[in-house]
Amino acid sequence: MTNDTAHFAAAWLSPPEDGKIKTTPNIRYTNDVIIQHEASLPVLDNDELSGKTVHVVAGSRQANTLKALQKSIPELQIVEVKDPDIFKLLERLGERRIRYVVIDSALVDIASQIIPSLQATLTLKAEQPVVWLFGEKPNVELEARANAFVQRVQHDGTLARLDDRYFGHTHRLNQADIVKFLGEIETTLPKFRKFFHAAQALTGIDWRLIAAVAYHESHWDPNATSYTNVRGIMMLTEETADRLEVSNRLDASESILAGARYINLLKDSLPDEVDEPDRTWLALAAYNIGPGHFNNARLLARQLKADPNSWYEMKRVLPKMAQPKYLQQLKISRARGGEAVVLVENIRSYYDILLHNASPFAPNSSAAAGIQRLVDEIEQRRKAYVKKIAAAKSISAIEMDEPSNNTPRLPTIDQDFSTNRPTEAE
Amino acid sequence: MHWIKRLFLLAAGFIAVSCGDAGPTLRRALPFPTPGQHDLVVLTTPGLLTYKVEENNQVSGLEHDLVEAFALDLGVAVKYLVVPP
Repeated sequence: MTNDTAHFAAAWLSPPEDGKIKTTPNIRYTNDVIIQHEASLPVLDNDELSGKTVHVVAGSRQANTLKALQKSIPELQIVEVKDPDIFKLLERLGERRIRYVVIDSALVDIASQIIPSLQATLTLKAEQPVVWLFGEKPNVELEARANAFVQRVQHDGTLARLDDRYFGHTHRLNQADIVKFLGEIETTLPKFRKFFHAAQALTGIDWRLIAAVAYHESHWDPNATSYTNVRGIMMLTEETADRLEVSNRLDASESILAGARYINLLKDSLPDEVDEPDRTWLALAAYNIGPGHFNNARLLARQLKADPNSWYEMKRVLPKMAQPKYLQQLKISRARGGEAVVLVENIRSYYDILLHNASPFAPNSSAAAGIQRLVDEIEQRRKAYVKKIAAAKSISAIEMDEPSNNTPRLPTIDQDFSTNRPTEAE
Repeated sequence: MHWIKRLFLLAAGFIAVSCGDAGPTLRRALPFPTPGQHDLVVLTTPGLLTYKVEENNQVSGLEHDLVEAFALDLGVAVKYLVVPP
């Protein structure tokens, strides 16, 4: 910054205490917190850190906080770790190889979602602001524009939208849900992994997202059936399964590929201006409540002056689909929109967990060929089913066309037209 | 007179060094970012809250996204200098 190599620094920084460096107004507020394994005795006071060894990312704000604390607690041992990946440090904490780590409070929910055995025990310092740092002599016009921008985004919802993108879903799952899911990743997921890989090869959707959808829908149970006759590992309705030409919803391979194709169809049906990741989250909401109800929710969003292309705003509109006031206003049928919101937010959490616990599918050529053969085989089955259905339809159509004794015939030239015309009584 | 010559040579040498690629203290300030001409240059650190390169090579991070929104406001591109904390 002092070398004029950058216009400003945006690195989750707090204002320096000397006050020489210019900053934007405060963008957010955050804390530094001690994280421990849940089985360890929690530290409840700064003084209890005396004689303890605390790990922290080298050069981070948390390292500075600890160093400042060390002045009053000389027995505090600080270990600065050079790798900036905080999750590697937290994994060591989860394995109980280390005892205390200091992280930014903004990361606590995300960390607990990935490693459920962690708990935040002690806040080390009062809330600190997060700002952008200019040098000592910034470009005055740029500083003014940045300051105005920061003030605007705090009020126009931009900041809230960004926060929702990263943290909006992180508090939904409880510890028991996460522990169960981590167990299922080890025991059940391997049985279906190749079908999820095949679905990625067919549709281009990350297999872990498809797996997250399947887990939320059925807990990876290929025989799952709901009281509304929604069935299979992807919980497809009969109507959707017909549309997707699925011969057997209880066949996991067929259901998974069909579910992935359906997600793509729903994504493609959204307007071009919908960006990722909102496009995916909106498509998943439509997966849950059906395209008809989802389009009604988009209509309602427009009426409420909300943006139907933003997941952040649709999250607030969808639950209104169950409120009579809005149903009468739009003359639409009731839908459980709140359920769709829960579905999407849970899937986001499951997907985050899978991103940390399952490798991406990037096969070598022979593995790719194997998966392609599997895709071809499942697709062949689907096409054979489509042919069978088409044949069955044509047979029934022929039967319909075949004359029977009761079927009225067109009059011939020899017949009296009027006498052959069937009456309503017939 | 020798000392005057030496002082003159020293001053000439100093001026010559100053006119070349001098140290950072003499570098010109970054120009105001302008569309198609000067990028907004932002210093950041790697991390989930700041700047993270995902598996698909897309970049995420709260700070990154906010900077992108500001750059969109200015109508300029962003160049990130990612340094360890």
